[in-house]
Amino acid sequence: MTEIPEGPSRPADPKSRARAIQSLLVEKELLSTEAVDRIVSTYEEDLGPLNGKRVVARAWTDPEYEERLLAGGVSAIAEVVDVPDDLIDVQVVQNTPEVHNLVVCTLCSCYPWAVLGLPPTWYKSPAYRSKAVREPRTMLREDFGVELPEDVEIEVWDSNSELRYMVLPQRPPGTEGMTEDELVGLVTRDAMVGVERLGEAAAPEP
Amino acid sequence: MDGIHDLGGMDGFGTVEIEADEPVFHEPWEGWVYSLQVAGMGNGAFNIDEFRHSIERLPPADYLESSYYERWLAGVEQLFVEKGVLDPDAIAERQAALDAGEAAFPDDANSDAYGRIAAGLRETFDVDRPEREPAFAAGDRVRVRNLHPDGHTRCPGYARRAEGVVEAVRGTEVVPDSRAHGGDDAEPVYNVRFDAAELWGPEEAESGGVHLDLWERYLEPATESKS
Repeated sequence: MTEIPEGPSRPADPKSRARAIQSLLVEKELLSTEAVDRIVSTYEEDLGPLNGKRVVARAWTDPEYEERLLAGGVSAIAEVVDVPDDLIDVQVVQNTPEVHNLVVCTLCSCYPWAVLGLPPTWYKSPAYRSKAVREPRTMLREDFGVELPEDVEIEVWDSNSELRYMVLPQRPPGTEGMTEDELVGLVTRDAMVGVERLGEAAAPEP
Repeated sequence: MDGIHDLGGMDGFGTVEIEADEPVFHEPWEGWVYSLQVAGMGNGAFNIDEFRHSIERLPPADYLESSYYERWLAGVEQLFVEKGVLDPDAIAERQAALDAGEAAFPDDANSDAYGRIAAGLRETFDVDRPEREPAFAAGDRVRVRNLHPDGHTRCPGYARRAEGVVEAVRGTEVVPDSRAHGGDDAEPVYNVRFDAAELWGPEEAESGGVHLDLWERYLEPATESKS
């Protein structure tokens, strides 16, 4: 038997409590105002869905790159965008006409932060975490307005290890003449999580 | 542990509420809490598995009532205290003093804490360990063992006793069940695909499958006789 110490409880005044802990850590030189500012700005400014969008647009326009990307590892991602590739490993999974991929973390909220930034609140919610593995098709229809044809199978990736998953959506038809930079604008965060399906609906008006 | 955090497949949580144009942090203190957690890991006070387990140890009602960053704060404080970095009375005293305007936030203009944190993070996220011979190969049918450990695990309850097929061998990684409790056991990790019908029953299941990355101790060879 593992001896499990008694757990924590919900903090009553989180802002004030966090400030107190922060000030004690600063005194011990384990944290600094500069470190907090840099950590916060990393997620508010540097690491966001634009990284993932650029990776997707490159994969749509460069078949050899797409092959390297799908083969696995974060190195193919680091070819296109500046990511801390020593801190994260990412596996990209590809949507096809027959298969739609969906990413979740049922046990906590693991998310491919290097390519998508920090997760939105809905990704961290008990509703999403409970339903995504068991009734993904119903959830996509009722909660996200995504009606998948019955012949499209849903593959769910529950991110329970340190490997993170990102969806490579299908390139929308009618976009053959677009440049890589223009394609970046068609990609959405939600499509890279799998709660949106790019395809006919995402094609620009002729 | 069979905790409330193990949400996969549960009913009753309602509609997924989606907030349009959500900010990264809703309040500045959420960014502070994020930074406290990064500081804890970057300074080697605790690792990611201990951190996840600290949140899992919240009483179930507290877990569900807390916001995401309230859960993080609870876990971070618990670990700084358990690891002997902070004294609980000192936290309470500092909180009261800051709230009353009787203490000033310490001066840290010359601190090089950020560099140490950044270097330390690489260590906590390095989960790869020397290769061990894998017991299973891609294509093998495996069954998830019926384990209910008291401590931390990354095997979700919904997969227990289910059979699936190994799709990939991920390499040898530290086992969270061990590292959350002071160990550093390492095992091969496998990506296993489970048919939805195997997990949720043929009557209820939607088509498709669910993939999990599972450490070797969670798995055994599938039995021929299972119906």
